Amino acid sequence: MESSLSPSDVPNGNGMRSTRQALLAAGLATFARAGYEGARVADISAEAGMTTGALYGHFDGKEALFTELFQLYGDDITRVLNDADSLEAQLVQWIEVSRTYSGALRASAGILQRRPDHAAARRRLRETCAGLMAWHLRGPLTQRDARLVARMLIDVLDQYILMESMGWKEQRRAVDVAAALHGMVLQGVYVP
Amino acid sequence: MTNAQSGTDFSWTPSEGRAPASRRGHRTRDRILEAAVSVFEERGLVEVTMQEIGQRAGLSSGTVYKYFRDKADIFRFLLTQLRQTIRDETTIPLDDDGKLVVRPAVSRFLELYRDNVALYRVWWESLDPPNEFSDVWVEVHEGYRKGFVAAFKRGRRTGVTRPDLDVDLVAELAVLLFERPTYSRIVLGWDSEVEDDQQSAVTAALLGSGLGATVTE
Repeated sequence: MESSLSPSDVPNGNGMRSTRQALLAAGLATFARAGYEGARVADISAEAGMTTGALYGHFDGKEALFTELFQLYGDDITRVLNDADSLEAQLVQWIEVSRTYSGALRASAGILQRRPDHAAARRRLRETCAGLMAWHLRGPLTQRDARLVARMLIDVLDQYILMESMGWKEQRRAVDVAAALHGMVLQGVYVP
Repeated sequence: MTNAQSGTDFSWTPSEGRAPASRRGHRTRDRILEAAVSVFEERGLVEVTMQEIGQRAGLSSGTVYKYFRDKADIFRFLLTQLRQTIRDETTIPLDDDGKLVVRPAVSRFLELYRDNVALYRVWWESLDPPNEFSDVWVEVHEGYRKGFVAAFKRGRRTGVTRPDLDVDLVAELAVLLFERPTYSRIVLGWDSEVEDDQQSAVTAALLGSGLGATVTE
């Protein structure tokens, strides 16, 4: 999958862009390893091979860097959900993009209950995504039911990715996970 | 959801000299626990101090320290109780065909979350970085998962489970289908317009015969 760690609001030419990108990538790696609280600005800078001063030149701090990562995740995930032409394809894409951003998602889970602003952002993204998935669940399902099913699928996958990133589950192929979940939606677990 | 839990050593025991010695001591400890639950519900574990717990209970922090080493010790006590409740009460019965009876289990799971929302809040908050509390969380999760694996395998022997089912993967997803939407609704307070029946119905469909014809591709 193409990584889109390429913020479009980069102020100055290519040098700035690559520094900023390197810091974002370092943030992602550090959050993946240590979670939000465990990742210090010094750790993120070191991961990027830079000084903390360099980081502060681009971001107000850890929170700003995280917020940008989560924004990038949201942009990517809504783009792929828009582009996918079936529910199953959306599930595969969801897993792949979320794995790319697993550091941001681990950090997000760590602060979800303590940071109302982030919880609101995460909830908004979930609603947007549920709307995009509900599109493929429509039909005899009412719009309301389709949206509920979509939210629940998103919740399941969110937790699945989190458990992987915490090292509690070994990684399975995205297509297998998506097929299993899609099979549950379509056919459940029992023969009719 | 099943009783397949395999135990770890996690449990609360009073540290040296901290066990209540009298009925009055037990009452004081109960007051501390009750106060702790109420401040945990409002502010979580990280932010709360022993002093606040004491204040809420109308006790000095010295008295609180007489019974518990620190706030994690209080949560350890409460989580030991909750884990036992989970073991006793989260089972999913099978019907005569050997299929899971899901809807009442979802209702019971929601009830358990509502009754213990402060503890679930703190528990989820305490998962990262991994520690003794996340170990218990994983253990409970694994217990649920093994229960689903056993139920699906049994259904396979009696011919009710879909033959093409990826049992291990679906058992994992089944646990998450119980856990995470419930967390979203009860702990995070999302989806307030969703009713319990709707959540139960979707869960039962995905762990039953699916939404089938109602999905357009």
